Amino acid sequence: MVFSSLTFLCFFLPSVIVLHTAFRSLRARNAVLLVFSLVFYAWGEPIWLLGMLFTTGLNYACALLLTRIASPRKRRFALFLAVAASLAFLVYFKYTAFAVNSLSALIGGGRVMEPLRLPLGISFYTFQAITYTADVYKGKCRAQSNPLLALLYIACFPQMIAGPIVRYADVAEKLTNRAVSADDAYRGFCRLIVGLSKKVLIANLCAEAIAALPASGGEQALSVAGSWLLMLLFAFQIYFDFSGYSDMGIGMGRMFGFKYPENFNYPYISASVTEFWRRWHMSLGAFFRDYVYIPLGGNRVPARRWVFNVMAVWLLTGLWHGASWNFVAWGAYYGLLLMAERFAARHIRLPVPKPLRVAVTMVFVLFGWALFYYESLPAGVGHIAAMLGLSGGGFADPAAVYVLKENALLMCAAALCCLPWAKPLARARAVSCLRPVFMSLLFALSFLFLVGQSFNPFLYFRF
Amino acid sequence: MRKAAQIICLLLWLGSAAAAGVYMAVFAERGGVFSEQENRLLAPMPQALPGTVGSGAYMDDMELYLQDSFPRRAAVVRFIQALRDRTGFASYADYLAVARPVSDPLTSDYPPLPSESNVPPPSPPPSPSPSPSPSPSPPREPSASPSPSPEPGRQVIIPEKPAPRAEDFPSVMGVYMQTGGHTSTLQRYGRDAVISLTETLNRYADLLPEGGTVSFTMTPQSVYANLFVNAKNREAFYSDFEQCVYAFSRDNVFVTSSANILGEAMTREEYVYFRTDMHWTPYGTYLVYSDMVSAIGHTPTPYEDFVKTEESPFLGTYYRDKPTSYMRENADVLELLKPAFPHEFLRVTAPGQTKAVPLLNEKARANDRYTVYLGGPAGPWSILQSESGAEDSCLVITDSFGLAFVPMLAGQYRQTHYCDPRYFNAAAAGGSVAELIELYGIKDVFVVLGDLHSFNSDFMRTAGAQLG
Repeated sequence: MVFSSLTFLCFFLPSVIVLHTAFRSLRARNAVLLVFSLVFYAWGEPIWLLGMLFTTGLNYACALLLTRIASPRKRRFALFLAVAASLAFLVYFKYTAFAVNSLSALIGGGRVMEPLRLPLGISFYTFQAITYTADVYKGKCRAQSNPLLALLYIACFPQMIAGPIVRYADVAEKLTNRAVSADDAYRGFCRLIVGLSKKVLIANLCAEAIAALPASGGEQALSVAGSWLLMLLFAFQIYFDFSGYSDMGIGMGRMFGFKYPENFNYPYISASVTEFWRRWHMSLGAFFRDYVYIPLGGNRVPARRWVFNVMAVWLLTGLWHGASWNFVAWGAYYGLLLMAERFAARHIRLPVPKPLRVAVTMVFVLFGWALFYYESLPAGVGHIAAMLGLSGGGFADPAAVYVLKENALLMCAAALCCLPWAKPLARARAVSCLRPVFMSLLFALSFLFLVGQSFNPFLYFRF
Repeated sequence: MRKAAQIICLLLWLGSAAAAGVYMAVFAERGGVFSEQENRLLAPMPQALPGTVGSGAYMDDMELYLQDSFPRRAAVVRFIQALRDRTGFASYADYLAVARPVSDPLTSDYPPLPSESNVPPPSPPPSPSPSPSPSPSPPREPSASPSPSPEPGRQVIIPEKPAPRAEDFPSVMGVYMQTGGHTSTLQRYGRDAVISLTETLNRYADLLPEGGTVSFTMTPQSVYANLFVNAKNREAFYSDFEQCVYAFSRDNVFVTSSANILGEAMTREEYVYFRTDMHWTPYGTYLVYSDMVSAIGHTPTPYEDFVKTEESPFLGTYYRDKPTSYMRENADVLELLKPAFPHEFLRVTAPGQTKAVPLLNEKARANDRYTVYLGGPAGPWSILQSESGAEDSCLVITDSFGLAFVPMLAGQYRQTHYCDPRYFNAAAAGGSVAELIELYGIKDVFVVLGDLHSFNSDFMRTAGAQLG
């Protein structure tokens, strides 16, 4: 089930909120949340519930074991067991076909294996389970003795499918001691509405506009304007899609008394690629920093080792996003960019105005999205070539002109929503009074657009 | 913000979502309704089976069902489309530029595709039907006293066709337009798909009594025709697949090229396609009707003999789905043609039971006004009975393009049966199509399709399967 669905909004959410509110005891509230979380997960693919239970059970048991053994060697082994088994489960489903097909290609064979169907949210709950065991190992938090609470931590529906990646230490106390005020519930619901609107009113419309544009690798050579437009729309789509989903998760967490970490902080106003990654998918960046980069030695190592650390982190970040060479290239691209940026910061002193730095960063981010957007590396590279005017598709094409004209307001709205002007505005008293009206309008509009999503006008509007 | 106000807001938001859920659960259509707006069957209520629940397919289907069956969904969709149109700046000309096949732009500095270097000559090829194509011009003044002209003795000449060979036809055929010396492909159809359609036509042809005929035509939608109408230096609008259909079909199958007939009319600046609707105008319909009935030995009813009324402005399906100011400013005129003979239009409601319905449904919705003809596509089976003096019966297998076509046959047939395979139901109609052809003594069959239901759709496969 996804948050931006009628099933969720009309049936699931009202039911879970009513039942959660109806009980005064925290134990009963946790039971309600757990049952609904399992239903939420099973609604998509019931069979994969077993996979999540396996990962949770394994990490729960290993964490308990860590509290009961003193020998450092045995403790390391318990940690290794939990991490390796969790990752093996993830690797099997996500990377087997990629590895087999890559090997096959290497020895001159063709594609021999279709990708396995991926259990829902596996990348997120695996990482969350690993952080739990690793934090218990490091002594950052105590192991949870109640298996149902451990399961609730992993499976709690607001953050299970697409993050943010919540660490156990952030919610441990709330599992056993939390209260929900009317203000929390209200602000949580407002956040949910904002996230829903981002997803339905911006991301989905950007996706429709993208579908109307020719893509790299098709019959027609891409024009320069068309290729930039496509990437700009994709940048909006992916940001509003993902941050919208995170907003909904964070908002719902607040409605149930949890405080989840922020995942996005206006990434498109970044003045450098380093800053971009401090603002984009922050919970994933923090995971790789704390559980991969720093254990590898971080930046307090010789230069060669540092290069290795950076590239390892970024190749893994790329692979985490998907099992495909273009994701590997995307990760490597950012690894190289970040190293180049660090080198430039140390050796080149140029007084570049911030707007220019933001613009240049955005250009590099758009090149990165070109690698990310396509399923094959040649198509992504071909798109970058088109953006640079090397594809022979001319400056503009009718589809680009049409999409730009049709979506000019949408793009302006999306660009405005990428800027942090709303926060101080929301604090203004006059605006604050209008917030319920504005939220109600957004909610109603998002709802109507959700209903209309299955609208499939026929042939003559297929472009 | 005060606590009470926050709680009221929460209750309002949550309550409205829950109320929508309850409303959907109670009032939603369970059976799956055909959406003429989208030309598809809306999702029916999914069945919870162990296999579908286990694979997650049930849940996906349920979400689609909820979206499709949302109360007053069509109004919601229209509202969204109108809202989106208000926020877009693209014109109809931009739209046409995109609808134009992008691999073959019409700018004069762009060479034609290599595969089309051997394009047909500028003038469209002749219609493969053995009859001449009449070119009546629409009278500007309505006829004061229609003079019904009963069908004279009909003589149909059924030619013998040579054995066809697939390799005699190009592997890809289609609908084209020629402008400024360049040819653009508007629609492409694979040879196998074209030949496959003839098998269904042949099955119909085999069922008919001696002397019976099947007449086929496939009409491009107006979006393609309007590309031609709006193009500079336009020369020809034509199709080439009809030769193949004709060659592979039985001797008693006749094929008319709507594209060629309407293309000629468009070059004469005649109003044969709507600007705001996907269909042909009644006058365009009449041109094709004349050719089709002439081909099988009938005399077409003169255009001026129909009883006519005009509705203006008419804003059709294009406008409904994307209401642009351009279309409002270029609204169409809908001419309603009715046979002058006494007639009755009956809809079969159950085996042996019929209900009289208006041939022109004046109550047709303003946003789908083309359905004024026959009340729009409907099932399971309908019959137009006329007292024109004609004796035979015919069957029209058609989609919405046939709505304006059916009433024109009243002068040639005592009974014109109308069947849209999307809505046909053998149990309700009283038998399979083959049984009904025999039951009603149908002699001729007309297959009149829009290109949406031609070679790459299930429409004709369904029509074949419904023969029984």
